[in-house]
Amino acid sequence: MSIPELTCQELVEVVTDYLEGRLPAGRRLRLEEHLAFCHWCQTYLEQLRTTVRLTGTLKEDDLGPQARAALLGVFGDWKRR
Amino acid sequence: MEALKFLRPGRVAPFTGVAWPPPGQWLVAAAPPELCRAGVHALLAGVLASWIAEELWRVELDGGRQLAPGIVVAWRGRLLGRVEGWNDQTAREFAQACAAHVRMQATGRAAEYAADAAAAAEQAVAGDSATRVGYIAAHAAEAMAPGGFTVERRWQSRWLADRLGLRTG
Amino acid sequence: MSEVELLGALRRGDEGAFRTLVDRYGASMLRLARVYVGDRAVAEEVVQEAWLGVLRGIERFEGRSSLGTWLHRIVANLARTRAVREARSVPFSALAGAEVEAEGPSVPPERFRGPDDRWAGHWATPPEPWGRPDRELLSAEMRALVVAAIEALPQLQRAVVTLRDVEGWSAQEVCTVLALSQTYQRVLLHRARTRLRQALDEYLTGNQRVDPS
Repeated sequence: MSIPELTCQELVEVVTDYLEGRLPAGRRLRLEEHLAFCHWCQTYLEQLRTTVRLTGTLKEDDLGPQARAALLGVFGDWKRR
Repeated sequence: MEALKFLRPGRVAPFTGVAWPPPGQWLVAAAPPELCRAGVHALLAGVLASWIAEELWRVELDGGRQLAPGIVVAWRGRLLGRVEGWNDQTAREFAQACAAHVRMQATGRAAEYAADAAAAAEQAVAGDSATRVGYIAAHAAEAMAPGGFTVERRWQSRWLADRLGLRTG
Repeated sequence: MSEVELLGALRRGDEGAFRTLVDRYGASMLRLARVYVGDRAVAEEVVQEAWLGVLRGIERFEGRSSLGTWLHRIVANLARTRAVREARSVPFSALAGAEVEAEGPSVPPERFRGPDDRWAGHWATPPEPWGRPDRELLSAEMRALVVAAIEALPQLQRAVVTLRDVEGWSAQEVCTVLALSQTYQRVLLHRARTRLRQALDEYLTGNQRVDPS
């Protein structure tokens, strides 16, 4: 079989390259051509995107007052040296 | 230039998720046109079968260039109007035609693919299910003769263009 | 205040400039330290050590990278050293070497049809749609799940996904901080995201997948 296509198995390995914009144009086209008919890979890609979105909500400022105070102590010591 | 565009419901581009503005308003690219990376992308009739989605639109491209077979990219484009003939019923006819086209002469593995296509055709509607039937049928063609896949896809696109009264590009 | 101004002020011993930098980078430096040392108290020590190193070396900072990148690079180096020294926070799998983090297919091959199948390479057990609204997917419960899944990742994958997807840093910045090539950084990011997605999938669909790696 010499069809120039991407299988699902290949897609899941390059999906991050695709999302990062690092796939060469030819392969990117093949990937999108595959997504056009493969609802399973569409689901997979959507789930990956959701995972990244969810991960992006984890950022909280949790330095805490004690840690902050300790750092200011470090600064004070350094200044006085 | 005039071209075609398959979109998800609500005029949403299938891969970028960008919602096209209503017909008449220009959608402008954020960066210079580059295949699959930047620019407004659209199709010529010769590759229709590979990109089927729920809605089919006629589009006008400002300065479009063909950057891959049947794929034109421009710095801006606007929707002209829906191809009303494209709906679930036409999609079903398309799928059945794809399956029927590879059923005869198919033996061995090709017959297995052809059977897959026939089964899938019964569920096809306007969307990825229709292009999937075409894909399966094209595999049957490839199993019959190397290079058959591409030839079959072209036949499918021509069938669709004729059925919808679109100019082949 | 621009970074150049902050740097200048810090050199002059301006405490306000120091506070600004702590507010801006402190939490993320702590998160990065925790990737390596786990224990919060130890991580805080590492961050303090990093700041001390920064202040002592402030004259030598040439500004070739951004201040933030430089700060995090120091933290990463110190945290890594501290983790090795402490030994107890290095998970077993990391002892096998960095290759473990990035070898073999990221999705088990048995999820796909084999080479003799007429649909070779296609999904054998396709992913099931999660079918939940955003409100549910981005809930506190799901966030806790992802946090646990991140903590279970091999160290470098954890470092990359923390800086890229939690902190939102660019690929180039992460490569500088962690001293990785672009390609390797992408491989690590890929494997981390694949595992995180799998963890969410197992929870949401109730399907336990066998992961040979």
